[in-house]
Order: sequence, then C-alpha cells, then structure tokens
Amino acid sequence: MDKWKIGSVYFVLLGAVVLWFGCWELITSCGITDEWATDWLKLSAEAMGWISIWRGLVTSLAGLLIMLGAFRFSDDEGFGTSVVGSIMLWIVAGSDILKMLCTSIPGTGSWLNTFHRFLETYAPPYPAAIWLLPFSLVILHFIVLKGQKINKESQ
Amino acid sequence: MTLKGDERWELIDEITRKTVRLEEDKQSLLDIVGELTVRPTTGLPLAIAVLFGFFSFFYTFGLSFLMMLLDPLFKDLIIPWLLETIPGRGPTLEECSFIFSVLVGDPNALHSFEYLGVLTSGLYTAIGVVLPAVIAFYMMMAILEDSGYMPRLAVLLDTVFNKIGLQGFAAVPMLLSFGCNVPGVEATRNLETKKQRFMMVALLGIFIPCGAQLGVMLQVVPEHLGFILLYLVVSFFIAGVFLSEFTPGRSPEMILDIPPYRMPQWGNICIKTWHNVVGFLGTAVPMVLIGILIVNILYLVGVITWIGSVLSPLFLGYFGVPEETAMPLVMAFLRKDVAIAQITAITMTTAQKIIAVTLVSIYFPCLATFIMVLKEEGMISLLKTIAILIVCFFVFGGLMQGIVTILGI
Repeated sequence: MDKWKIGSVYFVLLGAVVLWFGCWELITSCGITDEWATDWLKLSAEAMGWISIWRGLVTSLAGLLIMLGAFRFSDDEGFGTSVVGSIMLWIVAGSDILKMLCTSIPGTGSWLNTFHRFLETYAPPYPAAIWLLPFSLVILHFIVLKGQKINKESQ
Repeated sequence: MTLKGDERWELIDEITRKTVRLEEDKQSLLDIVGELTVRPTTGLPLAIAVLFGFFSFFYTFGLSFLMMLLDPLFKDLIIPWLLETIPGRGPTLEECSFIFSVLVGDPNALHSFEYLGVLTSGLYTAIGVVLPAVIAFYMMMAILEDSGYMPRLAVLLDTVFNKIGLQGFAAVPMLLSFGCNVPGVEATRNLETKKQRFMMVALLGIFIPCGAQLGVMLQVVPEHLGFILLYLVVSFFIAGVFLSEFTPGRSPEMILDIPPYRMPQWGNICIKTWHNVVGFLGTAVPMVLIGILIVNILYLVGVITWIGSVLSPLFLGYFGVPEETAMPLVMAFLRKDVAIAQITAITMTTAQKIIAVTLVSIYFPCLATFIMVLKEEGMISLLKTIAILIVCFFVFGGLMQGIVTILGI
C-alpha cells in the first residue's frame, strides 16, 4: 500500500477519534453528562462553561475536517482540508500548553510559584487535545512529501 | 531608429521570447490552505478556531499570567503604601478626609477594584488589569495581520456583513474595537462609502466592548461573559439591519487583493504591539485617573446620589437594577472599564449584574471614542450617533432585562 493510502486510513481514524472527543467535550460542557477525568485524561479543561462549549465545538469541527479531508487524502483539496483540521487541533492543544506554562509561573498572591506547585502544574491529567497532538503531527511528514511531489512535478 | 507597427510587434515578441518563461502554474500547499481559508465550509470552522485561540491567549497570557504577576505589586506594595502615606485616613469612608477619599477611597475595601480611589482602583484598573489585556490583544492582532489571515477573515465575513449593508472590511474595525474603540473608529476609513462609515462608527461605539472593558468583565461576570458577548454581537447585527434600512447612501460590493500567507516576524510583532500599547496608555491612563477623580468628587458632593434618586424609577422599574448603577453610568462616559469595575462595589443579584454590565456596555462610548467620532465623521454624525445610542440603550437594555427574567437567571 502506498504512503498516501496509509495516510488516508490513519487520518480517517484520527479524525473520528478527535470528533468523538470533541462531541464528548461539547455535551459535557453543555451539562448533558457529568464531567469526566481519569489519572491521565480529563475532558473539560476550561474554568468557564461557555469557553468549554466553544472549545468542544472547535475540537469536533477539527475532527470532522481531518476525517472528511482524509477520504480524499491524495487529492490536493482533501489533503488541504485535513491540514486545516490539524491546524485547528493544534490551536486547541497550543492553548492548553500555554495555559499550563502561564499558570505554572505566578503563585497565588505572590510573584512566583513554589517549585513543588510549578512541577505539579505539568502533571497529568491532560486534556484530550494534548494527547491527540502528537498523533496529528504525522501530517507534517505528509506536508514534506507533498512539497517534494509538487517540486518534482514542477521540474 | 524608427520602427513601423509590424516591426514593433516583432521586436516585442523577440524580447518576450528571450525574457519570459512560461510554465504550468502549480499550487503550493500554502496556496491550497489559503484558498480553503476563504471557503465557508472550511474557512468558518477555522475562523471559529482562530478566534478561540485569540481569546484563549487573551485570557491566559493577558489576564491570568501578566495580571497575576502585576497583582501582588498593587496588593502588597502600592495600595498598603498609599493607605499609610496619604493623610486623613479614618475607620470608615465617611470619616476619611476629602483628599484621602478622592485619592485612596474606602479604607476597608477587600479587593483592589473596590477602593474606588484615583490612585488605588484607578491605577490598578489601568495598569493591573487593562495593560495586560491590551498587550495580549495587540500581540494577537499583529500576528493575525502579519500572517495574512485578516484579509481572509474579511472575505469570509463579507456575506454576513453584506446583510447589513457593510463589507467584509468591517471585520477589521470590529476586531480592532475589541482592543480599543479609538483605533476601531479610525479603521472605518477602510470602508468605501459615507453610509458604511457612519453605520460602522455607530455600531462599534454602542455594541463592541473594548479590550479593557472585556478584561474587567472577565473579572466581574466571568461565567456570563459569553452570554453577554453573544447578546452584544447579535444586537450589533439586529441594529445594523435597521440602520442599513434608514441610512441613506450606497453599499457597494467588496473587491480585495488577498496576500499570500507569511510567517510573522517576531521583531515586527513586538514593534507593532509596543506602538499600540504606548498609544493606548497615553489616552487611557490619564482618562481613567481623571474619570475616577470627577466621579469621586461628584459622589462626595452628592451629585451621583441625586442622579440615582432622579433616575431611580427608570433603573428599578424599567431595567430592574439598583439606583446606585447611576455611578458606573456616569463613569462610563469617561472609562467603561472602570465603570464595570465599580459595579463590583454595588450589592446586586447575578441577573442585575448581567443587566448592569450590558447597560454600561451599550451606554455612551468613552470620551476618547467620542472625540475620535467627532474628528472622523463631524458634528452631525456624532449627534446622529448619540440619538441612535439613546434608542439602543433603552431597546437593548430593556430586552436584556426581559431575557434574563425569562431565562430565570
């Protein structure tokens, strides 16, 4: 099987997983189901309910675009759609990472956090987007492949 | 040398053959993504994600990180020093000297917002809350502009804005106004006709809260900010439909050259942010301090209490908020962010807080915005804007009261 077919299957599956987590985040933040967390994974990462809804919507749409694009992965437009979906997932994961960084440094009522609390901020559970981030980075490999393909064709 | 017509064309062909290379145009990945960004099916979800990232950065970096770093400076150093240094402190506000009441405010306040003194709440709001929010906002704006995303957002939103007689270009002043209404009003120069400029200026001044105001709203009503913002944006478009109908003039279609996506340069982002923040502080800090000074003096001589009692039937009966809301409404004319901060000092139910924050938001834009509207659009447009504003204040303020009652908040 060529790389683009493997990529297509991989991103359809990844898109489905992202969509599933996004929908779960969305219904949890709407209060339809209870908040859910294990030692490693938590669903609703926002302090304010309305931001959680927004976040769930972005994650769901990201999953949908990754999946829909992956069905036509070798085609320029399909691949581009998966890239757009991945960028959306990176925005959510990036926001989570930034939040960890920003809450780890200042303390409560003091300028700097204690070393223990600083480390504690980086401990799990992590939101779903952070877990899904490394899997979505596979698209970078295909971006390189696509660039090489375009260069070859133009030569 | 003189050439005949045919010879001239032959020479052009010859030069073209030697200098121009023709080949098939192959789209790069950036071109493909660029095209998908302006298509509604892929562009709208990405816009929702980009705005989420924008807000997340604004909240996390501006209001959590920078604000938490600045907060102890006020809480532990500046305010205790002012309480000790300014003469005339008494056990309660009524027993304090005039100077102490104006400069420091209530000596028993528990939060920096609640002192309501020029040097306490005034400096805290301007430097401790507004500055972090403004830095974060302008950093993100610079990234969006330099990456080439802003024109794409304008194209994407063109259909929506067209419904109210505006163009996609209106997205730029609208987003800028979420930082500060002053550059927002300035950016309406992008719009083509006088009708569009007037409409946009009026709608921005009434419905779009500035970054400073948003920062304070996030501290005062964090759980309901999404609801209030949604209400303001929907009201923006409802009022826009009516304004478009009744404002004479043309609403032409938009023609825009979209630049390619580019990696933003950090140096440029820092310079842009620096210029915007310096410009903002130059107008905001003096305005905050003068505003609190005037309101405090009016309060101490009894004018605010008098306005409150005169307007009490309106506040209590029509909007359902306490008569003390008069104080933030007077302040809102000078600085809306400080006005919202003043709401924290009034005892209110959650529903009343939501209505009061909405009222302050759709009330007169701050003085700096007024001056800018006068400069850009002239006195007649300013007077028309004030008339629209008064109508919107009663219509949308009263509507919010109804919605909050129906929702049972």
